[in-house]
Amino acid sequence: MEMERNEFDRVAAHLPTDEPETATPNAVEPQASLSPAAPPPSETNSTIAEATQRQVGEPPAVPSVDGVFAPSPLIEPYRDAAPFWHMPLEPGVFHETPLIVHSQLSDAERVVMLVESYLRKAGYEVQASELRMRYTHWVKIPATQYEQLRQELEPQRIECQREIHATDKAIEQAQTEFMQAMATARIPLPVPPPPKKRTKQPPAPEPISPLLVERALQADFAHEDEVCGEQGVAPVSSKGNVLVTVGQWLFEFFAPLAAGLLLGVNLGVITGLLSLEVLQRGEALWLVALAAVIGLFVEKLVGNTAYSLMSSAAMASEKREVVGATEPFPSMRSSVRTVFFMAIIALMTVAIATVDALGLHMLYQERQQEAQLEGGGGGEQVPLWVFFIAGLIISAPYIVYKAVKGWREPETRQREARITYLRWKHVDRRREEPAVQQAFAKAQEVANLHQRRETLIAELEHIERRLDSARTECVGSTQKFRDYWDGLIAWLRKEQAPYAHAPRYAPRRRGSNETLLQKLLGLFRR
Amino acid sequence: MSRYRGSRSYRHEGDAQNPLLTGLALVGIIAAVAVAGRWIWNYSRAQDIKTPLAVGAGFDVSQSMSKEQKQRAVAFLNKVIGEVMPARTPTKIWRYAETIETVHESRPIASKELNTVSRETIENYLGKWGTRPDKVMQEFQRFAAQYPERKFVLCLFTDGECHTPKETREQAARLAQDSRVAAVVVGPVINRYRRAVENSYYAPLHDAGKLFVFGETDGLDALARLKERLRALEN
Repeated sequence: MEMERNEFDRVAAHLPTDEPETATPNAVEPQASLSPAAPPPSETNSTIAEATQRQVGEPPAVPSVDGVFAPSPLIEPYRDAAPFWHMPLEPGVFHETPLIVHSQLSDAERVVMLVESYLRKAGYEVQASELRMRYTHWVKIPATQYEQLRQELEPQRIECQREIHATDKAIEQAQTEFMQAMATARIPLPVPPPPKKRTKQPPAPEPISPLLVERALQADFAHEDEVCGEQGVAPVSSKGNVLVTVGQWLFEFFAPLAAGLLLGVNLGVITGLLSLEVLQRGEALWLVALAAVIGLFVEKLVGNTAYSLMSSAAMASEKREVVGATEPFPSMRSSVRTVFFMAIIALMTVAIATVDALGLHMLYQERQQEAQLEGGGGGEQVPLWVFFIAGLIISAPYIVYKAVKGWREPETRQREARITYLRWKHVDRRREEPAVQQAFAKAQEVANLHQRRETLIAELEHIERRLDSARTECVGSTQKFRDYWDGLIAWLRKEQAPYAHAPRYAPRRRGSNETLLQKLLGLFRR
Repeated sequence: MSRYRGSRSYRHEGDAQNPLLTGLALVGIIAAVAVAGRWIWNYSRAQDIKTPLAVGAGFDVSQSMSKEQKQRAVAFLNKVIGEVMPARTPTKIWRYAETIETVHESRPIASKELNTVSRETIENYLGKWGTRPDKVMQEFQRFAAQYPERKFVLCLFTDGECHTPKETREQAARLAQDSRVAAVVVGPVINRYRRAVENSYYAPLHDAGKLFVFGETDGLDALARLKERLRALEN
């Protein structure tokens, strides 16, 4: 009995107390409490110093007078554990694994073995086996696995970092050489395209690649503004303006609509479907609208026809300089076709103007008749040719506009195509220069280095993810064991409490072969 | 000089149309056209006179009427047929002096259909002596009997001369009492007869608010008042 009592006291020196305030925060640091004399070899200088300070400041883990157990010397993984998931990293502070490995492992094992041995001797076979099993599964195996992984991956990680560093230096060198090559080849760097979204930050520089050199070569050519006088194209300012474009759309819609409204009404008046009286009736508004729509389509049709005819006439008026060299390209010059197309346009214009003139004249006559009701109508009549002029004013401008546009647009397109061709020839000529080819090679070298750097970074991230994952698993398992340990110690203290004050009548053995009578006697003695 | 060049824009770059946007724009345009068309149609229908009407017109072809006055009268009838009356309104035309003759009866769509009638039988025709508007009113009542479901407008185109004031006033009183007679238009009267026309010959119609008299310069105003009167019947 006395031997058993002494053994329990010896073990209790390693058991934790149930009052948190008796243990200072540093006192529960696992590495310091488990192995005060020998700091782990994996600790850095800073952590060693901190550990030493904690050892000096903490009280010794001895049982108190009333039998309360000392603070747990076991695992406290969260104190100085790598805080990568729950607090920001402090710059310049490096944390090492808080786990029980290497020399600490022997201490922890010794304590665990001691408690296990005590439990077995005290008759708690099940608890002793469970302690051993949980310690093995939750502490020993994850810590071993983590350390093995570190041994395997840490050299790779360091090598990866070294290679990234070397690649960075190579990139700097290659970029310098690229800029020298661009300067030697006399290729100006292009201005990066404006970002689609308006941001306050300046746009990121365009990455160096052969595409950049290609774009720079194409940009190294005269602007359209600079060649518009020579090549006969419109300046850029009058082409890309939004207001000009919107105005063009409105004009393209409302000009034929206005002319078409009058044309449709005049057609209706000539054919007898409409009259001045009908136009003045509110219920005939739909007829007027219908006439406007019909007139719009007729006007657009005539305008587009004039556009196409004039485009064809413009094409037929082209003269190729060397006909033989352009075979089988067709010869376009044809005066007959040009005259024919123009005659059709003139005929359409006259027909439209005649319709407008006659319709207006008939409306004028009806208005004269109506004027009799107001005592007028006896004045001088307006001659018919005036209405022809009015008809020409109504419809001819739109037709002429479309015809001129039809002549001008293909010509402008041809000039733009020529500029594009000149640009292509220019770029093609520049590509043959050795300096330009050197610039392309250097750009590709920079691009290759960037690609290699991205590969290395991805590899490094993969290694670090594996290490972090193993570390997390280890810390979590250790914490589980700590919770289990606290529960075990609390249970053990509760079991030993009667022996601290009452005399011992018999050894407390609770083996698997304890009889029912013995259990009842034990309960009765309590 | 800077070695940097501005990026050049190519006209045909990015010109590919988004089919979804194009479809939406097309649907939007069709919807807008449909809404506008429906609004125009509804407005046109709302402006139409729904009340069934019939028109009787008596032209004074006596020697006191000049050709200009007859032309003015024809122009007024054309305006009534063309601007005021619904299409295919039954129309009957008489010419009268001492006697009365029916010259035309039809359901015209437009006033142009009456051009030949007006020119040949009224403007260029010169009747005998005498002016008997009471006979026109009698014929008008017979004409009204043919269409009991319609309301009627009588147009008496005369310079205002009347050889039978008493009979005319009696007929006018009958017309004033007839609820189916919506309006009686008299004109183009010359200034000399205008007071007598309004206060004597057709006084019952004037009192009933059915008389619309126009002279040589206020025909369009009389037309507008007639239109208002017929629109008031809609309500």
